[in-house]
Amino acid sequence: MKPTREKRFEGLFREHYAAVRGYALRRAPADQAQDAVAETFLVAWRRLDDVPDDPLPWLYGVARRVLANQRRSASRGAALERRLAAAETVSRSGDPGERAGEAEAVRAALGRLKERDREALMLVAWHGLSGERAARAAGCSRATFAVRLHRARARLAAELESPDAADRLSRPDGAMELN
Amino acid sequence: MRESRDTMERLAAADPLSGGERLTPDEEREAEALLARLLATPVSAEDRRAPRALRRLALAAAGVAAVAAGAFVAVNLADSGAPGPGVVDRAVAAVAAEDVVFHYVERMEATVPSRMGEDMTVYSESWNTADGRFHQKRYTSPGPGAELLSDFAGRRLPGRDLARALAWDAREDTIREMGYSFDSGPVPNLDPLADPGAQLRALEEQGRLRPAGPTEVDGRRAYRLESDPISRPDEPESEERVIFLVDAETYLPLQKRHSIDTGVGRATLVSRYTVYERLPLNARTSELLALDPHPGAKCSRTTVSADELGFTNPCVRP
Repeated sequence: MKPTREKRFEGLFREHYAAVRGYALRRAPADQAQDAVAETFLVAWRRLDDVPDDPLPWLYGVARRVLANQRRSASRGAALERRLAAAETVSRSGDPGERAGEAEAVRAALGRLKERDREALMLVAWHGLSGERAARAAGCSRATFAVRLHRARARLAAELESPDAADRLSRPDGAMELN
Repeated sequence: MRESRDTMERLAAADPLSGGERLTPDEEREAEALLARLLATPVSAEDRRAPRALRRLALAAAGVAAVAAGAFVAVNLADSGAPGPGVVDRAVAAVAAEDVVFHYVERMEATVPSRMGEDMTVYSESWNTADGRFHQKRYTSPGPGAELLSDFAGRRLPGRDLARALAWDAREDTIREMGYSFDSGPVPNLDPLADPGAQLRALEEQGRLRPAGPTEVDGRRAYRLESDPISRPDEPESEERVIFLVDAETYLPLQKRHSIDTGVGRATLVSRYTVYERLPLNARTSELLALDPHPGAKCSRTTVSADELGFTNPCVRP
């Protein structure tokens, strides 16, 4: 027997709530994250007929846009960068000493990247998505995502070594400063 | 050694939720409360239909909206190695003249998800002037002898949000009075019946459109002007993007692509401009701004004057 709409949604919610919440918490302060999670699942509830068989990338995609709209509407564009750079709230791991310093340095470097690069890296490294699923979450083709991830990884590596090196990577080949 | 560790490994280790996404009992209660609230939220038939963005696009393709096609202005970048700031200013200087009729012929192809209807192609020819007059005709096929689907002409007057216009519809062979206004919302589309250069300048100044490098269209050198992906606040499941392709040598517009991705379906509206030109505004070209004659057409309660329309209303006896 086909489950009712309510049952289908309940199953979706219970299976993916924690992951969507984790997605939002990695990108926004707790109050904004909670609002984004609620709005994401409200969209899923309304558009349940459109939710694909593999719903998590779709949910991440909705959450990404909800968070982007939140930032735009409230001029909170720098909030994520500050949050990643400071990295002071949601960590539950309590990294001591050097490990914490290393994590903060990596998050700070991540915070200096462009949003698209950051998103590609986070989907793979923090959310554990395959290239195909991450591409769906990012709203692009698998090939585009592969290129984006490759470049983002290079930019993060350069940021970790030296912010100047990252600047050079953002320019086209052959570009040079004249003075 | 830390420096030699793989970047992705280092990033994974820096996950602020590396302790896991498991919920505490308090968080579980919060989740249950949210689930209960959502299940109690009524869902209307409207909510369950395809996203509004897709419906807008399907309407545009069907020509149900009075005018939905977009136009864009060419940008001459042939004298520069790469696009940069001021690109659109140069385009404005090229096209934003008072005594000009903008004329273009467009082929618009809509590809929509199957449940939204069928893919379709619409052909149109449009004229508009800096003083607010406009005229657009839509056809079923290109070239001479094509069957006219609709005819739409009118004028914007200063201080009025809504332009006055007359529309003729082939299905009913009737002339109706209509209003026309354009609001693309957050998506940087151009009002097809207004000066494209000024609009492009405004979009660039607002950061909603940016030069994005050279490309090629059918062997012609071109440049891309593109938007970032845009999600409307009331439709976060959808993402839209607009790309204009501009001929670098001739100032001619070549193509506009508007895509909407809902995560489960993608619709695209591709406009190709086979003609885009500036004509001098004179008695002959002024005639192109009036509604075509439609002998025998019925009139449906229209009283709008020639002053407001910019041409004589065929449904109003002198």
